[in-house]
Amino acid sequence: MGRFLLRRILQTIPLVIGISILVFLVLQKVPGGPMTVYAQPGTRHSPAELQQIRHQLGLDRPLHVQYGIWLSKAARGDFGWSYQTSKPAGAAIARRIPATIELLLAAVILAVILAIPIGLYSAYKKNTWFDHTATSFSYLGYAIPVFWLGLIAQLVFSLYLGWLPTANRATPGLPFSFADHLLHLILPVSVLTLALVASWSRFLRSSVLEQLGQDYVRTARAKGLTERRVLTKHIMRNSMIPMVTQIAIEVPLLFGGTIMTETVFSWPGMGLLLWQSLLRRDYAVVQGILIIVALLVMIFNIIADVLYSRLNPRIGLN
Amino acid sequence: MKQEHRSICSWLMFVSWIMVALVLASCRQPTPPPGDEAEVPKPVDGGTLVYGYLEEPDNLNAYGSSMTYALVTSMLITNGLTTVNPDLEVQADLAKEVPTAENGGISEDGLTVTYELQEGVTWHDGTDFTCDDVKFTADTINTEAFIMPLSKAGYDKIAKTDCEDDHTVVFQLKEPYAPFVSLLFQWGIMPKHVLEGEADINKADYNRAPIGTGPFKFVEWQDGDHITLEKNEDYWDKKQQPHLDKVIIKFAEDENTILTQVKTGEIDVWDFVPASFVAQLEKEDVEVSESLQLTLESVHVNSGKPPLDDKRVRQALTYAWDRETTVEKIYPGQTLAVTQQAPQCWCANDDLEAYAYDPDLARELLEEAGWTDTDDDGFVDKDGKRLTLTISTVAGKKDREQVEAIMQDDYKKAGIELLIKNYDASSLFGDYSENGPLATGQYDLALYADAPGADPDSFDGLLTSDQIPSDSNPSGSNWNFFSNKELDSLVAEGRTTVQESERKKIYDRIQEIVYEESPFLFERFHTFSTVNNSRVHGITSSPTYLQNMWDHGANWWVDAQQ
Repeated sequence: MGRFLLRRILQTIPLVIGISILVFLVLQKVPGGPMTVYAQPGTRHSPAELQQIRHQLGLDRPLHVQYGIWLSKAARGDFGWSYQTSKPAGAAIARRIPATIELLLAAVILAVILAIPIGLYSAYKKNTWFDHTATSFSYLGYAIPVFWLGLIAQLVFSLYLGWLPTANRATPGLPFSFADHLLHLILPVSVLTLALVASWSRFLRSSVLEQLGQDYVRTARAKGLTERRVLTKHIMRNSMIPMVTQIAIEVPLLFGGTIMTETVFSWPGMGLLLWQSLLRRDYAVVQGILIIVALLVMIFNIIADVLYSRLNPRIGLN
Repeated sequence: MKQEHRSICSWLMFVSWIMVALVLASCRQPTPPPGDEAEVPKPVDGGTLVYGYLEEPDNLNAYGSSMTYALVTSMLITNGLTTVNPDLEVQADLAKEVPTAENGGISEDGLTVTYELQEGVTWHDGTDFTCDDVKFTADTINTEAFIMPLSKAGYDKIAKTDCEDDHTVVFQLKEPYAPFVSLLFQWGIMPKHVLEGEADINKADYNRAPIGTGPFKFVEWQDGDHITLEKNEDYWDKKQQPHLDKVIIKFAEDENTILTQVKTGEIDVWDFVPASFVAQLEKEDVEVSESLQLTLESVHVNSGKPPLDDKRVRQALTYAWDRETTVEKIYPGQTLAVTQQAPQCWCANDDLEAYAYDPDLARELLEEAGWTDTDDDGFVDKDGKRLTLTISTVAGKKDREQVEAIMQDDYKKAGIELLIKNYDASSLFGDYSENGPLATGQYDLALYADAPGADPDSFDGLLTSDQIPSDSNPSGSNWNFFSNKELDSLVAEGRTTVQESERKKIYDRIQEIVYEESPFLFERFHTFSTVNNSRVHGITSSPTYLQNMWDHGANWWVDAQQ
């Protein structure tokens, strides 16, 4: 176990360096580049002025030198200056993490609670009205873009019914109140949860269906176990193996989903920050977030591997 | 190893998603400038106003930002030396009066500009505001290490700033610069006592928590969420005391989210409302006000490229396009542009009349230039080649695409074939080194807007022949590739002439030249729309980039709570 972890962690180091080179080069090559903000026609900079800015920002150095400086600083947690937020990029990102974690955690927990019974039951009652309804809903959940669903939810629950606040994390100007905070959480969490339930319940359904035809299920039934016991003890446990790894791998990628949700609901998390940084060419922040997400993907992959072997003793870590 | 593959794959997916977003992002245009409104009943003190922004400001030191929302927010907290009112008049702010040649504020040779400063002004932390702060601001701007996202053009004309006494600042210029007073030091003066010891003012804490002299004090800035300001009880301007207790600035990155929040009353004011939303909001219990900006929408003609280097062909393009009907149809109620100067400017040449729609005259002009329809295909030709032009704009801008379609029809009637080739914004406005079609002159006609400041030089100054982009001048601003010797010398003269009456003659003549030479087909001046909850009063708008914040929000008020 220890050796496995050590090996996996060592393996991620060249991967992270490779990814950082990729991120660095790709962002340099995107039309416009870091100078876009200063080179807009309306700003009327003279060539000499632009040259001066380029020099101040260190952009007149060779690319590999720029990368080296960036990497050595990034390794020490200094991701550069975020001009969009007027603070170090690391600090800008750090300030947004709690909001995203709160949103993600609420949505993931809620989604797991909903997706497991739905997936299990639709597989068990395959081709019944329940299964068909669940299937149609999950297709809807797949097909409807998060931002559209978010806007509709705002129209219905905030504008027409007036039950919930439209956006933001709290009512600005009021002292912090848990109830107010919770009210603001409902819409974004629901929208994100819906998309997750759609995908995870389908995943679990097919995984349960696969188990249902297995010999050990027949054996369990032949032993005279109750259906309930067969389902919860035997099938459940085996179908959860791929499900758990699936969730572990998907969680870091959920940041993609939170970009839309956070943007529509003005939720001040990392997703919104990434969106803002992309629009405003705040490269320091974009690079920082991409590296963090890459690290998260790798960490969660290791977690998935460990979980997988724990849940399924047939799989060894080597 | 399989896991690695999977992680790389999913990460690559994520990155490609980002790339798509980046490309989409480049379609968003930088937001430029502004108008006027009716008078209001007796203001009531107290209450909170929630102002909605479509973008989060980047930096509240206005000299360190080019983002409209950041610049206008700093206006609520700080004062400049002058401001520009809704009638486009330069008005004194921290200066006691606007320096002119007449009142002696501008010396006869135009090389010295003197501002008498208001007395009894204090910073929000209680320190006295003096001439030293102004000198510090001017000196900081002209420090090489200080990066200004907007050009230092104008500020770089300052040779030396002196304080005659605590309330008199004297700028010595390298050469006369007439737009000095109407373009410079309108953004908040920086507090010397706060920023003096900073190693790098571009990265100072002040930028996120400014201390100003304005009617509102900075309270807090919650990342990604809102900024809170509160009333400055000791505001120095006794004639203009703030009414509101609090101003909360709320950010939302999505237009539809803001729209819903305006309708539910969660947001009181939203400006820069897109035209398509204005129509929707007119049905709601909100007030919509519109004002004329200096922002000028026009078709830019590449006057350096045959056959458009022939003045007659350019004139024919103007006559052959029914601009009045186009504006009426696509932008009902907006103002047709006659010259490049907005009608409310002192510099506008009122003797000129809009080119009429006259396709016959257009054909005559084309014939003079050698273009006739010899093969009876409906299009004019010369040396066996049909007159085919291409027009470009930002792809996906519906209204502009409709304008292009109308032009296509109109030009067909005059025998000109018009093709449409639109680009995404970052490609269209790409700079010289990126081979941008405008910057490198690889276009015929281009439809987009220019946003000049409150001085005629800020538009005309872009049109001189030394601004034509080339390898040696890659950031040249003359994307019309227009060259006219008389205009070149008039622009230089206008910049160094300080008597307004003399300047007026110069800019009248410049407008005549541009009118006659037609390097632009003028369309209209933009309208700046503000929507506010009916409980909000006192918001008026400047046609410049100062917009609704030109008076620092001191005149804003809300109805007393029921």
